Parts: sequence; C-alpha cells; structure tokens
Amino acid sequence: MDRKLTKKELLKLVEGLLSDFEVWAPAGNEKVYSFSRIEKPEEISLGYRNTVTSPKNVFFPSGETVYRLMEGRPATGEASEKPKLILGIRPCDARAFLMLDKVFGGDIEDTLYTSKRNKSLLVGIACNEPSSTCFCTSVGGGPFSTDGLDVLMVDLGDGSYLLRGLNGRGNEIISKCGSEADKASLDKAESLDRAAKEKMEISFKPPDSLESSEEYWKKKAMACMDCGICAFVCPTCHCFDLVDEGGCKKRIWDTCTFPLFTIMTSGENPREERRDRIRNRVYHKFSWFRQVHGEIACVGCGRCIASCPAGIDITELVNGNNK
Amino acid sequence: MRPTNIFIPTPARVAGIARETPDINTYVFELEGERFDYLPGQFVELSIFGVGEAPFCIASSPTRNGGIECSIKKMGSVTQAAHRLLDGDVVGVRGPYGNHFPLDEMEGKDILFIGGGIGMAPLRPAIQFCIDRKEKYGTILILCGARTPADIVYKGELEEWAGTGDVYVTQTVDPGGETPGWKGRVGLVPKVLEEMRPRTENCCVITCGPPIMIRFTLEALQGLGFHDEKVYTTLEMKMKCGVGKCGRCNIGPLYICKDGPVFSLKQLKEIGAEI
Repeated sequence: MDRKLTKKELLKLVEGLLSDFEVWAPAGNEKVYSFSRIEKPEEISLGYRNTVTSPKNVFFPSGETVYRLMEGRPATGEASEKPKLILGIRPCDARAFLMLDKVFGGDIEDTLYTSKRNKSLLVGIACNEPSSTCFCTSVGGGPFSTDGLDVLMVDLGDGSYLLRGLNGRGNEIISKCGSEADKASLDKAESLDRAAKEKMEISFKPPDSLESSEEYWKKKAMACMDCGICAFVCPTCHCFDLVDEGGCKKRIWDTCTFPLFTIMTSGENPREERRDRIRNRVYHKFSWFRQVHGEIACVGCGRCIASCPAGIDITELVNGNNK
Repeated sequence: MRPTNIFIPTPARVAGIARETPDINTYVFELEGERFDYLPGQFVELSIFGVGEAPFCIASSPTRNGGIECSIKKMGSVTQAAHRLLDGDVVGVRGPYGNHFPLDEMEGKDILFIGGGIGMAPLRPAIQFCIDRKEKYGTILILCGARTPADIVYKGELEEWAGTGDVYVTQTVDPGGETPGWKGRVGLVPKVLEEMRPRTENCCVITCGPPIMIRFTLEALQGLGFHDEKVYTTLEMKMKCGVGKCGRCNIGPLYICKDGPVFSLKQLKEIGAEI
C-alpha cells in the first residue's frame, strides 16, 4: 500500500500512534541527532542524515536491570509496556535489528531483548542523501532497503512524504491517513532511490576471506586506543556484561575491543594484544557471523568510521588495504 | 517454575561444604524448586548475590541424585565470596550450560582420566558416572596430579575409586612437592603418563588441568599413539552469559560456553585453538 502524506498529515499520524505505541524517533538539533522517546509529534526531526548512535538501545538499552534482590533473592517486576515503534529509522539500522534478532533470539531466547522487540513496529525513512561514510550497498543493504521495516517513508522533497506499507501491520497504521499515492510520487521515489545509490562514495565487495597475518592486524591496530566508540555507535555490536550493582543485577554494553574483556581470574587473557581484539571484531562481523548466520553483521551505516578518533576505517580493514 | 528470563538464577541453598585443600572447597547446592537434568562436562553460572557471577563445572554426577556440587578454588571476588558461604546460605544457579563429555559414545571402551589440580573437578562427574554404570565401560584408569599432597582434591574419593573393581588410580605430585610419608608418584603429569604406557587400543581419554599441563599432556598422548578424536579436554574462557550471546568466550565462530566447553583434540586442531 502506498500513501502520500503532507507533513501535517504525517504529524497527525504520529499523534495517533502515540496512544498505541511507545514511539522512538530521531530528535535533536543540526549537530546531534539521537533516537529519543517522543511525547509530542513536533519533537521529531526527520531532516537528519544519520544519528550519532544507533537506535539499538530501544530494544537493547546501554544499561538495564535484569533483576532486583529482594530479601536476598532475585525478584522481577515484569511491567507491561506499550509496544515500541521506531519512526524515522534508517534502512541500515532496521537491517541491523534483523541481525540482533538472530543473536538474542534463536534456540535460547533472551527475553530482555525479545520482550521489547516483539510486537514492535519499524517505520523507516529512506536515505535521499547518503553520508560520505555510508556503504550500505556494499554489504547487502541500500538507501531504500525495506528489510526489517513495516513501513518505508520517502521524503519527496516537496513537503510531502510517500509511505509504503510493507506488510499487514504496516498497511494497517497508514491506511487511514493522507491519500492514495499518485504515479508522479511513485516515480519521484524511484528516481530518488536511483540517485541515492549513485551518491554512495564507498563501494566494495567484502572478500570471502579476510587478511589473517599477525603483521597486518598489528599494523592496522596500531592507531587504536581501545576507546570502544566503534562498538558503542555500532547498530549490530551486542557484547555485554552482567554486573552486580546496588542490589541489582544489571546488563550493560561492553565491547570485545576492551583489553580486559576476556581476562580471566587466573590473569590469563586470550586477547591481550590489540591486534587480536581488532581482528576479532572485524572477523566476527565479516566472517564468523556470516559462517553461522549466512550474512555479514555490518550494515554499512558508517558510524564507526565517522566516530573513530584514530581515523580507523573498517572498510579498509576488511579490504586488506595494506597502506 | 523456572524463570523465563534466562539471566535470572534459581535460588539454591548450601547443603554441604567439604574442605578439599587449603584453597579449594566443594559445595553442595540444593536447588529450590525444579531440578534440572544435566550430563558430566556441563557447567552452571553461580551467583553470589550482590558480588557477582562466574561459571563453574558441575563436579557431581547426575547418577548420584544429590544436589549440584561445585569445587571452588579461592581466586577472585566471586570465589572468595563463595569461600565465605555457610551451610544454609542462598546462592543463585543458572544452567546447565554447554555440551558434555561423549560418555555415551565411550560405552564399551576403556577410559583414561587425567586431571591436574582443580582440573579434577570436571572429571569427577564423568568418573562417578562411569563407575555408577561400570557394566557399560571397560577398565577405568585415573591419573591425578597436584603440586603437593595437600593440594590433591577428592582424597577420600580417590581411595574409594581405587577400591572399585577394574578401576586403577595413580596419584602424583610435582617434584619437590612430595612430603614425608607420600606413597604416590613424584613427577609431572605428562612424564608419569608416559611412564604408565597406557594401552591406546579401544581407549578414550578425558583430560583437564592447568593450560601448561594440558599442552604437554596432549603432546604425550599423541606420542603414545592416541588418536586425536579419542582425546577430549575442556576449554576455559572468560564467560558472562553462558548462552553464546555476550561475545566473550569465542574462538573464531565458536562460543566455548555453547559449542563447548568439551572438545576433542581433533576439533581443537580444526578450530586452531592455542593449546
């Protein structure tokens, strides 16, 4: 189903969604956009290229309580929440959730994640203007990819939006708003898609086998300072720690690039060397995840490239660019 | 009812504490509520509430129908807190996790168990399991090494096992660790193993111990002519979740907590694990 909405109609749609969903959307100013919980439709800013951090925290918060201790035993209060809806998510970030679904779902289900993710709706916004660090088309995605989305919105550039329902639930929420999309709008969306793909500055084919030499990874890891920002902003990174804090068991984000991540009580540390940690992170995304789940665990959002203080570019690491 | 959230442990009560060595105690934990089925080689995540959580192999056999036993060496914050536990205290147990020793495939065969120090803990459930179903197994050889006689775990049980028909126990301590009155062997485990010259025919091996011992023991086993697919050991890595999600314990695409911790020497060579 394709509907055409004016900005005003879109805000009205959001207003309606707010009563049934916990709505998360990009908000902020020109410099920093991030996904926030929205109370009023006006808080949403759709004019962003990409948010600094990914929306993974909606289903996988950077810190969350696993259980509280009550009289020395674990107790949980399973609050029934409204289903979550992410509005204005980029196609790359939506694809990332399909990968996190594989990690946290599967034969041993992690209900901390799935309880938030189940029944959620993803209303994406296509990328008319990819950033210079974007490379989604190299890793199986695209600026107008619909993978993982329930609705895809396209900013038609004239103050109106095309909303494409991609399944029953998506169609349901957009069916009563705006008007049926005319051919001109559909054509416009198609040309925006083509133009966006052409604007992609980075294009490569991930190699089937990555560089394996110790020397290579040592050289590539030299500039890294173990800050972990790459994992922090990454929509597919999902390493975590479980810690006891103030009478609670908490789950917090962690990363395999931190030096103490794998240290054992005995003092032994299988990934003590930085080259082994960087190699582990890149291999996990581009080789091992592919072996286990059949796809690369990188969606090409480019956040790690944009955020790395040492200028490390994951596409260079992958492509064996031996500079 | 087991909690639906996989990270919430089942409360368990300390129902017994045995002092094995100056720094190793064996605890019996009685689970409150539903008990779980497990097999030798599997492990649990043990929570000392308010302190932390750490993985421990289940050191008792399901054939004994008792509680879950764990032998804990005083090392870091969790294990030190464990050593302060008293009878009746409540801890948390999640599990069982990981794969298990292929004791079903080993039926009809001789089994050689080689353990060093606290490495006897993962072997104990397998030894108990085989002794309890002795009719299904051939000769059982147990080689148990420790730094000094005082560091030997399961001392009474080793005597008991040695008194069982068709079960042979060899104990050894590191050179220099022997004390007056020590009746066992003196020598490092791999050396004693070579001197024992065990028959390789129709024999499987399970070995656990400190990394350095494992490395030389695996070498010795290969030298004696044991095939890689007949030799099993367990790998140890830092773990948090126990279910292959937190990203800590991988070697390549394998998560030691989920795809291990038991591996054959053949598998170890295939995944390129450092041993």
